[in-house]
Amino acid sequence: VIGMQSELEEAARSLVAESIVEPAPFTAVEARAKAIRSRGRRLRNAGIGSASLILIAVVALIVHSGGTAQHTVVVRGAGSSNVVPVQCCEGENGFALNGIVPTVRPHCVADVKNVTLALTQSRLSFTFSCSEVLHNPRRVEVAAVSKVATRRNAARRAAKIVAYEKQLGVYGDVVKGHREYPDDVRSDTFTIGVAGSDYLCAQAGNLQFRANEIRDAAHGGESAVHWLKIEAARIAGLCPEKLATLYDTVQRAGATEAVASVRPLLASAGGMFACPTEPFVEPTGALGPTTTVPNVLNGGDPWAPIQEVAANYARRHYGWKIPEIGPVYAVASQPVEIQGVTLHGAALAQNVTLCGEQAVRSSFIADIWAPHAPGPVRSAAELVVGLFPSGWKVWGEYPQSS
Amino acid sequence: VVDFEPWYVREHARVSTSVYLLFGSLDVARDATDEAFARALARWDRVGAMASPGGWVTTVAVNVARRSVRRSKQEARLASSQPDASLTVPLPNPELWAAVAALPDRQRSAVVLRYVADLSETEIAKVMRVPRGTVAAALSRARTTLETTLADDRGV
Repeated sequence: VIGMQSELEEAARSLVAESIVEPAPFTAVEARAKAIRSRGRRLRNAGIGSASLILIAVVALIVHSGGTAQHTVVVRGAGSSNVVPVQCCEGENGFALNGIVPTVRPHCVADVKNVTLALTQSRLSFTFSCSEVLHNPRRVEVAAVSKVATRRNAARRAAKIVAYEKQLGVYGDVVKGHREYPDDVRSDTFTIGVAGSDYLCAQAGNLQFRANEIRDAAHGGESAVHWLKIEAARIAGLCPEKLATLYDTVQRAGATEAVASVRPLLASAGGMFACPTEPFVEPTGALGPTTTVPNVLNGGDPWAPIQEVAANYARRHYGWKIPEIGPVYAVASQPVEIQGVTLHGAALAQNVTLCGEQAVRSSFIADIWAPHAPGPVRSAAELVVGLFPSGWKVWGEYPQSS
Repeated sequence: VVDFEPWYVREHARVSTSVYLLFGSLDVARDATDEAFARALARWDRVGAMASPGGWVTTVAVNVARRSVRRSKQEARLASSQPDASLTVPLPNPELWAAVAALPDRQRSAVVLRYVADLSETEIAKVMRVPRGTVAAALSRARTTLETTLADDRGV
């Protein structure tokens, strides 16, 4: 065995000397580090920080407040292309799904076979056949939605917003004389895919912006509670890690009662999962890992009882025969910086936070996946496991693919 | 505080090779290593002052790789398989590294982190999130297994 030790040491030295993975140039590491630092600043400042973020916010405000954006339609006729600037995009959605066909239809004339709509702000272009533009506009919209559905996870986030709105009872409500955005998953998918979510998420902590919104809502006869239900549903679907910021801002804007009313509704009925009704037991000593166990960035903790409960849950509820599970990590140990890397853990932690301090102290997140799951079934999930008087139980879940 | 750039040049091969051996994918190793060193640089005032910046960056690289590997079905399959078949880069001492790749997960991780990443048993325990005694036991069992396997292969 001592010989083996020497052989391993020697073999490892040779292997490392081979340098099988080429190191990235130092400038690339510097650029990546800069992005990480910037991400941290952006989170710390809750949307008001670096120059780039201010720029995003300004653009977002222009769009949000009904500014006009300059896009183009490229008309491809026989042997030539004609670029036509388009003045468009009234309203907060930038270029709305139902604006596509009216925008391109006038250019489908004579021998023009295709038109390309170039949305310059979002660097997207869509090419449609004039035949479909003229005779089957719905297919044009379906193609446009398909193109952006996975961009920025748009389809899933849109579905979540609508689900939250339905659960809060505000889906499809007419507010101030018009139907509130989003009016359906398709158009919302398009909006998020094209415009992203910064125009809403970056405003979660903007006190002046929120105060104006609440005042305008009141002028239109809308209650602060109704207004907050819609805003909270959007934030919960788009950037749930900003929900606490939104509540705090709305409280500072004076709508304390609205927060008191909406927060528990979203936590219990409209959150990703409901808060448990039985009390938590705080895991201490031998009962379980404490909140000082490593967080998600540092690997979590392979704490077997929690892993076992999570694996049993996946077997029973997802039908995974041989689930695989990684280390677990304490919700209370989630560092702020993970919220910038869009881990689902951040969204889960946010939902747990809505259920109170005791839930945070007693809950852990377990990553679980089914490497051998056949076909397009749920293949990965993050589970929230809490300690109750009857033992460890899964009380929240976030299946990541379906 | 150590100077970052020479440290990066010196440590990169150790970290990237370790991640490669643990996860069996060159792409995962490259990306996780780059991310880990970038995170180290982003907070170098703290990481550079640590007793073992190498241990820190290895831990982060392994964790980034773990998460990355889980994220897609394809990568999940990769994570669940023994990586011997997916070691696509020709390695020196192929017989030895194939035997290492065939070890049970915990033993394989302990061997790679001990000999390739050059971490202490305490640091390995932190990366693997197991008690130090478990690391020592895994290393001991791994060495015995390797000795037997290689002796058989070599017809000793």
